[in-house]
Amino acid sequence: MAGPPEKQERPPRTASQKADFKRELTDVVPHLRAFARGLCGRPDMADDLVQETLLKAWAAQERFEPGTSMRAWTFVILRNAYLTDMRRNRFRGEYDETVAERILTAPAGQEEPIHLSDMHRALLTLPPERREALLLVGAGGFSYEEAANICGCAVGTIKSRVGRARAALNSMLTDGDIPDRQIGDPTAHRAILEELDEVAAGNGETERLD
Amino acid sequence: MASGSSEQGNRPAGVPDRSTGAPDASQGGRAGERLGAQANDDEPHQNDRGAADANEAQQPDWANGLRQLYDSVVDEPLPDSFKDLLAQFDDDDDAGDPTQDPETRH
Repeated sequence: MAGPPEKQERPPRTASQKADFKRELTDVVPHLRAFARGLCGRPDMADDLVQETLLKAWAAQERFEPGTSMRAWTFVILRNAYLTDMRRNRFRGEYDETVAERILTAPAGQEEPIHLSDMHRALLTLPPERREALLLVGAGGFSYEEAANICGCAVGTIKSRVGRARAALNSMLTDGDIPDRQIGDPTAHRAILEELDEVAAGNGETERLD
Repeated sequence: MASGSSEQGNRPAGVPDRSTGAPDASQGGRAGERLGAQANDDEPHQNDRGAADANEAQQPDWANGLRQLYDSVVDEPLPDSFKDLLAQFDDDDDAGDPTQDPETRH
């Protein structure tokens, strides 16, 4: 792995700074788990990814700027770890059957509740870069600007990805037309891999922290 | 485009306060059609205020589900493996840094 170009060292952290860092890191773990779950679908894989992220974050803590968003910083690490893993292992994103029983709270007046499983499955059929954009903005509550920083791309790109992701989900969820696990479909699978490679090739990848 | 000053932009470090996990998207109505209409536009004309909150009121019903999906994981109790890992960080402080991943070494 090529080293990161930005290597400005900061002075070693004091014990109290380390304690602060650890506290913030601890606070952000549930969010890392949620982001990872959305990215890769399977809880066990997601948690592995979070563990990896925590180790990397801890090792790189001197590159964290105190006072900035720990959540955004660690999300960058997590996403880079995710892309690296995906490149090594090819696509392993799988739908988690355990969420199948859960039902989203149906808004008043809606005839048919949307199942959490449908949502999750639909989400996992999206190309990775649109999925992460939608996760960051639509689920994680990041602004477009923050999401753009995390993904290392322009704000307009994030907006475009979110817009397309929403349109795709809208079509799937409103029309009930959710493809089965796309993994089983060779054409779709190849398309996913190609898009993934594009993302992984640095198209939209932020400065590497891993 | 004027104000990039959503509260998310200026929040203090750490976990942003996500206040209530379930924003009210129930008035989403058929806003999805509007969202769908701009989907192929490379520059959707949402203004820069952009934070999810700003859009929440105009989103289709399922938009709330994204939050729920996310929040359902955030609200899960943390598995022991994470507590163990975090506890281990303290111990490592004295003994060099065995957690150092070779790839992150300077």
